[in-house]
Amino acid sequence: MKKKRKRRKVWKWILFGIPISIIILGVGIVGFFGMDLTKQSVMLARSATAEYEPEMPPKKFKQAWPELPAPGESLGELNFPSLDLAVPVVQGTHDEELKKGAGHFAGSALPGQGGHVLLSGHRDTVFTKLQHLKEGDQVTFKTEYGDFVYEAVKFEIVPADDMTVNVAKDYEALTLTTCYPFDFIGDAPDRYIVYTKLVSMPEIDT
Amino acid sequence: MLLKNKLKKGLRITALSLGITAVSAWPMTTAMADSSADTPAQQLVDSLNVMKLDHVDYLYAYLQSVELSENEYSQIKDNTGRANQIIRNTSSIDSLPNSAKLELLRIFMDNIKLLQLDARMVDDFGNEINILNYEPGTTGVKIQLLDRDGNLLAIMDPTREDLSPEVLLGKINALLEAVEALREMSETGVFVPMPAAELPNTATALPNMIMLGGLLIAIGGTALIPAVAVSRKSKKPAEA
Repeated sequence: MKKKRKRRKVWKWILFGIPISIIILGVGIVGFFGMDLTKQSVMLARSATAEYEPEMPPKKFKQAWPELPAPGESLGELNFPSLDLAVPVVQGTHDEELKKGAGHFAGSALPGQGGHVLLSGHRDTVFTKLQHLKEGDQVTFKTEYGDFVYEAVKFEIVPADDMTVNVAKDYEALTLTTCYPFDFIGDAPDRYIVYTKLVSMPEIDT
Repeated sequence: MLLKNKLKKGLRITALSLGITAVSAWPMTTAMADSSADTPAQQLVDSLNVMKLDHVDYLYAYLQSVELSENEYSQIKDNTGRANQIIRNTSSIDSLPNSAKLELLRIFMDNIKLLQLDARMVDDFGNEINILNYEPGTTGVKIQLLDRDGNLLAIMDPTREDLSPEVLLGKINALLEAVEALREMSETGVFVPMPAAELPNTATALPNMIMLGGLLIAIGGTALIPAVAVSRKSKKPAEA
């Protein structure tokens, strides 16, 4: 009788012990991975909502234009005395910026940085008269550092996907680009390039 | 005699190949080859191109104005390492547990913030998407990258293929490569222009649209002439 009761007790333990162990294991797994998921969710929410305070201030370059101009920011004015034309120049050559004037290609140097300055504009607005510019004509880029005077030296027509014009140079130069043909109806397939050489530039204290 | 000639020729070839090997191993020749091939600026351009952005020039210039601390650099490196750990052994991002997916998203957001960028999800028309009420399939999803002042720098247009582990891993690692290139460029203290790029797109649909408008005005005007004549004719008997 006693033996039977003992056996029943053992069976009871087994009967309840197995499902309870499974439940405990399940709770453990849910807890562990749930905690991980919660942790990730909280961290993601914090990443998405918290304002990040950079540890360092924005970098200042040790040259002309120490602070990078923001897209659309005015850089000065481009003057063509022979064409009686003055064009505002802004930073950037994307759609919104080109509506404001001629755009400075953000990946190229700025005047006074000793490199290749590339300016682009629409052929139906700011650079319509560019087709009348002749070799030897002067182009003045009026900036906050003073006037950079260039002289047109060469004209070229290249395909729109050309990769040989917009290249880095280790000397001060200005290149102007616009669409070509000037009277083309639709998306013009080519680009009209005006190469210039530097005539004079202001002294810049860096 | 024949053997002697052949030996002479063989010696000449050996001497020539040894000479070429020696010249190619000369330090200056190697340096020249390196400088023309993979400069940090080109590495940065290549890394940004891996991200498949609409334009890279604004981002290229902006990232040069970002000063990263050692701590921020280490965090980006650690995040990239962790992302590699998560993705490396999976065949599909969908098969990852939710916590891993969330962690990947958190790593992406973290790295974007460390680079002092802001990411905004927008639809095909540039309207910001609210993830809480976004209905998948109604419109495409694009990611706009903005600078610290909210200026739009570039747009990412992710596709289904971009969510394959290899492509995602490539993009995550490209970001670290971009940061490493930036650190090298930063040592010069000056702005480093892009080595080579396509010409800016100055083509515009403006003249086309103006011409289309003009054409419609002309067609409408021409059609109006008989219409007015017919209307006048039909009025006359009534007046009489």
